[in-house]
Amino acid sequence: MPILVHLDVMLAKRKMKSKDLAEIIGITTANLSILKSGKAKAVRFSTLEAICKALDCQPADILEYTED
Amino acid sequence: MKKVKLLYRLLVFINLLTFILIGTQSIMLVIPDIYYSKVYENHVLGAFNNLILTGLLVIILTGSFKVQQGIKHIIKEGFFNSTSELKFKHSGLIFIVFACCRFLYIIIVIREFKLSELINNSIMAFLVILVGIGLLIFSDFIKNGGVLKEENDLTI
Repeated sequence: MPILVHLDVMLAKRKMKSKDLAEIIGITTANLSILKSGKAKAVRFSTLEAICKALDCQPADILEYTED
Repeated sequence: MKKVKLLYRLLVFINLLTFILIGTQSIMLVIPDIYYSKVYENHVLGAFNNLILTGLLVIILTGSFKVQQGIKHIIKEGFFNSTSELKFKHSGLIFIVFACCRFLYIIIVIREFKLSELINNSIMAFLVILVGIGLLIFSDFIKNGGVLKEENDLTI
């Protein structure tokens, strides 16, 4: 996938655990793990909004486009 | 899912009956025909007529058993699963093969049929081809549904 997810980096910067973020944004830890590992096929705007709100960041801080 | 379970039970019952029929037909007709090399002057296929008819029954039982397995997996794993897709695809192909064999049989023994029997048998074989094609289309539906389900499951 040419879209990279830097959620783990942002979590480390904010010193937040995956479990806590999953609880705040209202998704399961399993789904957050799928998102972190880059296995997700799509991200809902509502989820992205919740992540950005919880981590106080911009979508570009989490997602990055790279050529294959 | 209730209707699917009902269909499954019905198929198990029909397959069991067909299995018993094949067994009975083999013991009472096929084995004596072959063992004693009976002569049937009014049959083109002679002593092998019952053997071929039983063979056709075996083919359709195999197809029907595949459908039964496909439905069983639908009950276990939900509508969109790769096992059911494969089972329905195979059963569709088996039904088409059966219908082609049946058409071939009709052509070979065409002289033994009355016109009404010939029309009825041809229509039956044609309907089985339609069922086979329907099963192939259904397996395609399951395949596409599986892709959509996977995408939906991986949308966070």
